[in-house]
Amino acid sequence: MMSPVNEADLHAYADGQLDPARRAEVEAYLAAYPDAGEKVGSWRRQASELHAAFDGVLNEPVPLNALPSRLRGGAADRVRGTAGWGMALAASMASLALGGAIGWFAHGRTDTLAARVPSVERFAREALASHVVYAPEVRHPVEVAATDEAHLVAWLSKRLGAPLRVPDLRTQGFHLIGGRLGVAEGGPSAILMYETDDGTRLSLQLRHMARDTPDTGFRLERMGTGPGDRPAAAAGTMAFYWVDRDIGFALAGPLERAPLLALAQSVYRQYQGG
Amino acid sequence: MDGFDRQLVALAPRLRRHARGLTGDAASADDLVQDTLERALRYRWRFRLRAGAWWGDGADGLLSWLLTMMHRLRINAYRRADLVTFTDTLPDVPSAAPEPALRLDLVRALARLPEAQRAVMLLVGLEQLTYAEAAQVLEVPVGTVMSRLARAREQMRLLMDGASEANPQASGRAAGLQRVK
Repeated sequence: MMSPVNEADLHAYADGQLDPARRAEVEAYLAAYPDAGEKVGSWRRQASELHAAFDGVLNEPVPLNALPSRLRGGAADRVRGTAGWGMALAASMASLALGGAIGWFAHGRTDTLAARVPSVERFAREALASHVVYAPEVRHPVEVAATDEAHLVAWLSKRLGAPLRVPDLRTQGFHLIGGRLGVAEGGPSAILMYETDDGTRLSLQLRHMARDTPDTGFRLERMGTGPGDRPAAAAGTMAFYWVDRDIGFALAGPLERAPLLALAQSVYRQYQGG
Repeated sequence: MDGFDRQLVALAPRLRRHARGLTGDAASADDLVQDTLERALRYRWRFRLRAGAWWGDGADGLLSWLLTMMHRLRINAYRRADLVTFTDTLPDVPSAAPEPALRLDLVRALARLPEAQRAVMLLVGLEQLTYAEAAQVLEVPVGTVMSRLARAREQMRLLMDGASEANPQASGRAAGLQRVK
């Protein structure tokens, strides 16, 4: 028997903090009460506008007056390497993964960053969209099956222009089913698709970003909530995306934030480790 | 600079984003970040003592620890500012009544929220913390986080979408919603 949906459930739904069973109940409720759906939509818009308004700060050079003097020493060392920055610290673009991960530094030319961040976000959105398109395919979700992994790696590496490594996510219950070539703005992308035994599909998409694209921490992109006209597979799909050494990564799937983040961290670690 | 120092520098952009949202002003935000990092250096041993044990999920928790200190600094600033209230939570001062016809952009709407609500909006909406994590950072019960979030979002909706004051309550009743207290 389903317990009545309360406002706290709606908030948790908007924030992706419900377990799958409760999420389904809330979705049924939203289908019956469009007013509530409209409310949830406006809350999500608030969150995305918050990002639009403040994420730029992440990419600004950290001014020295935001740092205690003890922390300026290392900052000054890095500034010396970057002419014309005056007092600005060559900011670490790294925003750390939520709740985890070791800090890593990204040195980048922040002056060109503003123009590039949107392209990272567009990549994440495209990755979400292609996940929604390909994941439900029963017969042809991939072009090259995992049984031919060597060929898959060689083919996608060649098209991507970067060595592709296939992260092993079996400890989290996802095995590789294969890969395909995708199209990302300005070039090809590689799509690796994973599946659990119960058929939940996850796709990892990689693309070569423009040279000197600053590294980012993990960021979350959710499927937008349209007025009921999106395919069923889109519901609850979200993606973590990040940029690491000029490669853009996006991991998309119908998972909750915490397990998806754990998977993203595993992919990240495996790319660091090799 | 040791490893801890470098982690602090690496988190500085995240702290600046949060402080910018909280204060609405670049200069005070950077002052707040500097104060926060100074405290972090002074009390680093406390973080070491609790490292890894915080949420029991192996996450390092440094960002949350820093955000907690940032919020304590804000509370102290409030206490100094009016010397009257002495509570463990930020005063929930009602903001000026919204002009009904006026639609505000997000930044101005956010600035109109009471600080306690603004903090929750930023931790949940921007930092994407879970409610339990936000409660840890703000050192309040999860229920308080939920009620502040509900009020903040409704207020933002009124300010930004120009929704009428009576409407949300009416529709809430129609849909059989239990309001979060």
